[in-house]
Amino acid sequence: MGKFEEYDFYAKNKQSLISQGVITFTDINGKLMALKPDVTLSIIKHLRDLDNITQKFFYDEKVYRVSKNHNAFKEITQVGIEAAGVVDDYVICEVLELAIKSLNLISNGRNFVLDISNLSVIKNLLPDDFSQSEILNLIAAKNIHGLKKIDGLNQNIIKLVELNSDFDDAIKNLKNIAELENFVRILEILSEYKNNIRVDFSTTNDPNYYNGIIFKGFVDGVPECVLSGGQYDYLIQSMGHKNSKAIGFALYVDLLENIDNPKNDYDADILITYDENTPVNKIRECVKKYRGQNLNIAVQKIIPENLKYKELVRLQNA
Amino acid sequence: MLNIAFPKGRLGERVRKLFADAGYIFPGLENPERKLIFNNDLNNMRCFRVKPFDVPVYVERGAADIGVAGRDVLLERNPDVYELMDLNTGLCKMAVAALNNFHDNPEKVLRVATEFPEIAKNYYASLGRDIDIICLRGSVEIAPVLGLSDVIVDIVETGSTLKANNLKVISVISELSARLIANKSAYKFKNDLINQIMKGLNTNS
Repeated sequence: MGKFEEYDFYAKNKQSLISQGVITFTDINGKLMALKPDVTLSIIKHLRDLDNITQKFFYDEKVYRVSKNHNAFKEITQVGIEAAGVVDDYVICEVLELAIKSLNLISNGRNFVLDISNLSVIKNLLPDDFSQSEILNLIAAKNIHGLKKIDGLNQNIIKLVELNSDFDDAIKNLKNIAELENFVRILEILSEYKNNIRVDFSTTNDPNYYNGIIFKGFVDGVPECVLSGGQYDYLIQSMGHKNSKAIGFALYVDLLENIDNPKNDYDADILITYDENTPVNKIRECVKKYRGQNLNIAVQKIIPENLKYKELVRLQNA
Repeated sequence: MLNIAFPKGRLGERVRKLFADAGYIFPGLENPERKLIFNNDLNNMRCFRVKPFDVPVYVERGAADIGVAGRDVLLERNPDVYELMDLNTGLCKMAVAALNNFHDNPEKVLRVATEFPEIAKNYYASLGRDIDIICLRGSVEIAPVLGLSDVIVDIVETGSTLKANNLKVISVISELSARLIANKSAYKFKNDLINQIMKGLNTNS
């Protein structure tokens, strides 16, 4: 996939997730271009004929954004999937299952969970006025004391955010709520994964982009969510597919860099040193001997000052 | 092991007492001197003292699983964390203050001295007022006295510092208190310990 799009494309699709932090430049004709801040839009825009079928995509791409914390350009590796067209219970379950399986794979034996919520239900309970985003921020922070201070807030929001996220408890509590009938049915289908699913209505995301099921994945030891996704029907419908729906998720593999890397205390397992009198063939023979053993080998004339090695092999004065 | 970030200073002492009343005692913390890390082996916890302003950073990045931070710091830093409890301690206000004889001319760009540029920016943006932020690292009260700024945005507890410098509160931006915050990931994987602490703090607050 290409690295850039016309900036206009992102400006037009304001409801996409990326409204800020796009890195732009002008091409030789003076047209404003953008380094891709996201992959989903680029995938969606090429879709044709979605009626009555489901199209599925997988991507593994670099995207570019301005990092909010230090105002610097950032390259992010994004791996993800999208399903568009017919998105029924089967497709939703398949995507959620794939999310759980992906987390299982990258967690490398650590604990992991997928938090699941339904944004439409929360959104329907919100007042229509300006304070929506403020309330969503309180919900996302599980800030119950803050929510309780808002006059006239629908108390069901507080009940949902406070809900015990244990799978069985959650299903028991949600079962009789008409708006959540479909949500509960999907959870029940996925009950074989209940140890790794938390029903958590504090899971929020941009309500102008997402609707319906949304989810975030966490791995023990990684401080932020490593997987994020949900249903985003508005975007696909705004691109002319009036009867279509879409769902997808992205994995932020960069975040996994800091865990499970076996601490490498040495720069090289074997350091081989030689001098002018060492025959080249002898060096090659020596290297060959170790290379087959999956060892990290450094070959130098002198011992470099800052190189940490496990074992030294001197080929001088042969 | 649960890692807890405590703020240094006055608030830290209040928080230590709150935790002690709830049954979580960190030996040595009452008289920390230069020591920064304290263990509570009984409950499998460890607390460390950091600058109040840095508590959300430790928690957001997962170096601490939970922490205690003032609402002022949370408003300024806007970290992506759970804000689980209002601890109802360290009560004060974020306020705008000016000299006693200050008259606001709305046609002028207002010069605002503060240690909290984000809070000041957001507050005046909500009023649609143009401001010039002068970011200081303390003794903000002196700015209007010296003519460096028109007003200050600062924490007001009793108001005695303001009074001593001929200043008065002209509007309150927000009520402040200490909050228990948690890392979003740690909350899921250390849920039992965190809930246990919340229960303890709740019954005593």
